[in-house]
Amino acid sequence: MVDQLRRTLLKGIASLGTVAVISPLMPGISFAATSGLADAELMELRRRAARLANYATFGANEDEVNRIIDTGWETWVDQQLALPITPLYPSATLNTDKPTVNQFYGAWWTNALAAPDQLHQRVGFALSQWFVISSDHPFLSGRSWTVINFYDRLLQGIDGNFTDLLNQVSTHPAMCGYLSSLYNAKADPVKGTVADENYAREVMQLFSCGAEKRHRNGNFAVDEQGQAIANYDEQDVREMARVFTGIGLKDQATWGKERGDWLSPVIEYPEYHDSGNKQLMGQTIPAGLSLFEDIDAALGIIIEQRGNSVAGNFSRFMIQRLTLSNPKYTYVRDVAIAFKDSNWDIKTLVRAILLHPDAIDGRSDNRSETGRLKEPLLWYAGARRAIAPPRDQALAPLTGPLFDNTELRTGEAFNQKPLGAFSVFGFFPWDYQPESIRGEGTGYIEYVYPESYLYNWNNITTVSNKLWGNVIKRDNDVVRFMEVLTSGVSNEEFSDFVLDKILFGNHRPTLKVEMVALLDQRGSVEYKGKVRDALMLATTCPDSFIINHYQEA
Amino acid sequence: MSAKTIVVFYMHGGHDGYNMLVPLDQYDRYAHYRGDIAHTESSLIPLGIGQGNLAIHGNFSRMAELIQAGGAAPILGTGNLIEPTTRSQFDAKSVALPPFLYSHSHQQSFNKGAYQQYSGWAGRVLDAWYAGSNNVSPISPAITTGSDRDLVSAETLDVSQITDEGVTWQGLTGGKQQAVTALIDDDSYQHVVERVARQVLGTAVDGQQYLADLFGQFSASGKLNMGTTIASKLIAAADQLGHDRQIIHIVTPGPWDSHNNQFESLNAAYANLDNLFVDFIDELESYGVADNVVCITASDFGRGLRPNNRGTDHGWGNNHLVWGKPVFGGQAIGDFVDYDDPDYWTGAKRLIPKLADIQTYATLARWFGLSESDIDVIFPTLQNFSRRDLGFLGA
Repeated sequence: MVDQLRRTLLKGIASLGTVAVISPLMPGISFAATSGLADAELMELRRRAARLANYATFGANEDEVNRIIDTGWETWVDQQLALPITPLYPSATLNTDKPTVNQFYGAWWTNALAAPDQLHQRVGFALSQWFVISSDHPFLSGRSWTVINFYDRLLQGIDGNFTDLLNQVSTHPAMCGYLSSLYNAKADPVKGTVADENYAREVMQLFSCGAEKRHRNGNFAVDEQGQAIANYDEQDVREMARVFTGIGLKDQATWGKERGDWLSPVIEYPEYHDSGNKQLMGQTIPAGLSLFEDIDAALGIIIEQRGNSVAGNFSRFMIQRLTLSNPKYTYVRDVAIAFKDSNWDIKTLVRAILLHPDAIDGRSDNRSETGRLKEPLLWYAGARRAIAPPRDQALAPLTGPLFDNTELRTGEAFNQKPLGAFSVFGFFPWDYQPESIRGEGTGYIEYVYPESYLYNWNNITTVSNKLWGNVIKRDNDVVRFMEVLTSGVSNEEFSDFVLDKILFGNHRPTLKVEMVALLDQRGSVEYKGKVRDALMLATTCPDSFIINHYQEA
Repeated sequence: MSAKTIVVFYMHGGHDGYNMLVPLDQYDRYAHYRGDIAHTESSLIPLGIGQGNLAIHGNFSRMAELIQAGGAAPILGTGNLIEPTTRSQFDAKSVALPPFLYSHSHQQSFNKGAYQQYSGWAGRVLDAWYAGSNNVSPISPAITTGSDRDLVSAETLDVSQITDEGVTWQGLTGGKQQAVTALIDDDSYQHVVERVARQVLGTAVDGQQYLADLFGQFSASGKLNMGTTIASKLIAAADQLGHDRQIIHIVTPGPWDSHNNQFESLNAAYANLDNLFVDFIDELESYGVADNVVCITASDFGRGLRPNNRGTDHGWGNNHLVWGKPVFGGQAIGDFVDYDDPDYWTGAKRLIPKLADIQTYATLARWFGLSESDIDVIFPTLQNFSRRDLGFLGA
């Protein structure tokens, strides 16, 4: 049965036709009748489609789940990747040419909640956690336009290869400002200064190969003594630092000035660029090259000389961001090979991640060990998308922000804000283990659930309150639940309906038991209270935080 | 020994301390430079302290009383400095200066002690105090009641970010909370990721309940705003939290970045603030915990003396306030810099500070009981200045 359903999802041959209107009384039944599938099979189909939607969008909702069932998974992924990329800049600048960070967040939420190219938006968010800058940096805090432009650059980078994106990131003024390669001058023997090593170090450690050598399967390589192998040494860092010298802003005739063009790629100030030859990872970059020729050569050396580390490192990271926190090494390997063999094509990587059997079925060796915790922003977005349709359905294509950020206070409420991590290391350490599961793992590799790093009691309460105040308590947003409840269904039937629409069956049976008991405490016509109780429980329960394979292998 | 608490009222955006304090003996020069945004002489409240016959803005009547009663003091001519600086040294660039003077983000970061560090001075003070201790309180003593964590960010300690939204779980009351608690305890959630989710949610339910119970013991007057209400209850609960030192960052309601409409907007802000500052102490007294609390104002920078059209632009040196029961008030700390002093005004009429803000902060750190060597680590440039203690907390 599972195989049959998987084939259905994979090959897109589910001849389910257009999804029928769900009967409010018996959710799903009319749908099942058109498909000829038994009820249990249909529920399994919806569970799977919702899990996949949670990988590839900002949260499964009825429309996307039906679309996935309708077209099949592979076709859905390809259709998503073929959509035009929805940038943030146009909606952030609808009412101003000098957007603030609030307009950035407004545009970000608009795209997260309502952009049709959900997969681009999810991948873009993942990339923004790899190529980290912070809107709080002194150079960037008053210049949100460059931060938004940087985010759009990442989104557009999905339609290209990793090496080009790495190059564009390295020459983006926001990145150069953030990691101080902007106005980094070559060594001055008279003053005794040397080139700033900040970007040089991070471009290797965080944006490409990582400090320690990896296999393509993401595992760390070791030498004969079982010790980690360094991908570069301090001399490499010093040489790399000489590459990133002589970087200045366009439209700015004076070296060192902050005013200038923060939207165009940086330019070279030749008198400050170190054009001597450079020895990097055992290779030589010849003397006399321009800044941009030097950057091309240096990044090329990383990719050529440390290709397996780049492939294993980045593939593992993207798998963790999109699908599973603890991928089996074979999953990482399969993705890394596809990625590297496609000349580092990002769409090929994304496809390989989403269409892998381990993503669809869970880890082949132990399904109970797969899954992922949602980040705070994804938790809110997922619940919001499942409960309420975008407020303004007329926005297609999007012409402006749906949110001005005052209702969400993104910078404060979530303990996570787009392009606003506390440090260049991102929102959380990738290998963070929550206390309750330390020491558990498969073989010698212990489980990590890095997203748990972002949760504390204050922001869980705050985000839950946002769902309560901004969504669940808004009667217009929950009208379809009210319609079902007032049509005369039992508390049990209503619980089935809510759990199907919010979690698509991805939950433990206990949740339904608790929900029915909760609704039974209310008088039979306390409709508003019942709707709110049910939605609150469905969005603030253990199941609402996670992507899990509930069925055992 | 009872708990000591420092409360920092941060005025984000750069408060114009020259709008707050005026030496009446120089009123003509003040009126000359300030023009349309000058306050009338009769509207100012004389304090009878400091050289030049210092007066405070008319909307600070309760603060004026507190100063006169010895419970508060102005700190004059203070700001971000790396080493003592005069106009000629500034012009010749012969001394080290805080980078990017007049930039909000740079100066705020510098002022919070976060310049070139991923922690603030308050966080480092608490790190030093709690070093080696076994504090297991669920709430860290490094507290912010708003979104801004920089000042209290520490190397070792966590930051407690506490807002009213986090204390009150609006939607999760009664039966819903019981249902969630039942799920957290339900072992059918057995997969690894399910157990992690139960832990995460369980921490929230417990933590929220803990604070709700803690705060529920204290009956607020209702006069305070969100930040000061939370601060007052945390101070009252310090013993239960196991905290003998706390630092609390408060976002001070402004607005302070008064490029425009300064006269009206600061008048309104001060009227609100005068009550907030003094009501806060009254609230602590009602809980019986005011004796070891010191409050200070802090800001990015002061503002230029000369107005632009209807406001003022970013400046440098500033005037601040310190108040609370332990304060040796009724005196001016530092000198009000003469409006025409050629050594301490830049060409654009921005004050060059005579005191470094870190001298104020180091005075507080010493009051906390930190060693001189700890203080030197926390404030690496303090040794550039002759006075390590400004005396407002006793000798």
